[in-house]
Amino acid sequence: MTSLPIADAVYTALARQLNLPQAQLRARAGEGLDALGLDSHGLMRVLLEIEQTLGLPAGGLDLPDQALESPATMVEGVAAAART
Amino acid sequence: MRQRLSASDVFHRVVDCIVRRDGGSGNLGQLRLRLRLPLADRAVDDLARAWAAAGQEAWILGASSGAGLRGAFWRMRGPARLRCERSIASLTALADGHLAGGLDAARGDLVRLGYASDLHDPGVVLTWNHQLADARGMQSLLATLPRLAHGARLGQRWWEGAYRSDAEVPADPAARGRSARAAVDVLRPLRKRGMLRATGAQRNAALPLRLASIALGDEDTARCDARQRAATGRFSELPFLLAGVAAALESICGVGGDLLFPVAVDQRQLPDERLLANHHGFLMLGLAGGLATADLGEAGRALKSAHRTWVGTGATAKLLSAISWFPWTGSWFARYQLGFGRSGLAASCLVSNAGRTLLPERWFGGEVQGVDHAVALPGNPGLAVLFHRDARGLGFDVVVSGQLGERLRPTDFAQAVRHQLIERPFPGAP
Repeated sequence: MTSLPIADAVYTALARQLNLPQAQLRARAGEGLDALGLDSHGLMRVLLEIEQTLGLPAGGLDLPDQALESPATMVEGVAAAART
Repeated sequence: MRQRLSASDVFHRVVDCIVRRDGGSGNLGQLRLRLRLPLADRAVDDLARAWAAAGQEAWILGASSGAGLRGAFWRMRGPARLRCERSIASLTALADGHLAGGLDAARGDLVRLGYASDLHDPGVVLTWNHQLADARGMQSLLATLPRLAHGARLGQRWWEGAYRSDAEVPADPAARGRSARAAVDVLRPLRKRGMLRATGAQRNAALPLRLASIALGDEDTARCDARQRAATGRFSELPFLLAGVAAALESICGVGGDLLFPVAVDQRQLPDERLLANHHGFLMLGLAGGLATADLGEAGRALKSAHRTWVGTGATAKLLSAISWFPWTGSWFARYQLGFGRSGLAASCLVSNAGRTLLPERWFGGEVQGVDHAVALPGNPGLAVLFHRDARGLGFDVVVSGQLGERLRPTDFAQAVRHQLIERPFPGAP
């Protein structure tokens, strides 16, 4: 179970990077991030925005590969990282 | 009709001047679309008609660049008269001729398309002056041509000011000015960092260009991907590729100091319809000398960290703001990227990763084998590696200019990069 602010932070950052309406992105939460158009440079920007929004230490959000499958797994991954 | 050059355009305009000063033919990009068999005659006619239609619609394809008190600008006087060349030569010969011939943006020579019908090496070559657009934009233009042949329109709003505006750069002048001034904090530490691999005082020429292309194929691409995942994780292909280039450089030239990679990154936010413009930013990623030789995986992670630091400081936006704000910045940064005129590998090498090729498997009825990339680059550093993916898997093209090509043969260097990416052991490699 993830908290609402984390999900909001992730979807807001992803929607901005992918140039998609947030509602549409949430509807496609199970799709692959690469299929949605994310690349390595974009991922960097997304992670930095999430760090700033959630007040996490800079550079501290290092997600494992399984968290980078889809928007939904990214929310789970960020929640897990924020707990530690 | 006039339109101001964007910050990315200005950067490429400076590089264009440097290439010409080094005796080269301008800042050129090139796509070599390799076909399995020559196109049917009717398809070639369609291609020529589509190309002419593109020029009729998009005047920017025939624009000439100039400069005034308010900075550099594009001047458009009417439709571009574009003609598709037809040659019985091989694609390689035709494309090499385009690179050597050059395109002069000041005279409105911005693009050139040629079809080579040689049975053993057929294909289409698109050469353009990089002041006009980036490689992904020009790939999209090629992909759109079959529709133009059937009466569709390109639909580009090239006359609008926002068409060329750089992503991330603030539109508000006051905010852009603040962002530009903040670029000093980015540039200052770069200036202190020792330039890399200055190998002597003699200057290298921009010509002749020597090229080598390698496509890894499915099996080796899968192997490279697995090794990349093990080293740097998902969505971190670029740092691993850079580490491979760094290790290849050191394996051939020896460890001679820190390495610094000028990298162009795609700034397009999909779906981006602005094909006929430059939309990329610039990274400068440093790597400690010898690290790639010692541990390829560790070097990849160090470059990933450098990438993150660069993005975290907003350096891309600050630099683009500065280039569009202070007249000297574009020139300084371009010269910095290219090693301040030092010879040999002074600035390491230019690297780009264009990602997956946007062209379909069939184009004007012909089967597309893949798309190779090429550039005309300045004599310093005189070396470029261009990564991309297509039906042949991960591929890369090595371009070496001038006398450097006699010491560093592109075929040898390409094989060295291939060895690093798919064969050389490192801790944790599958």
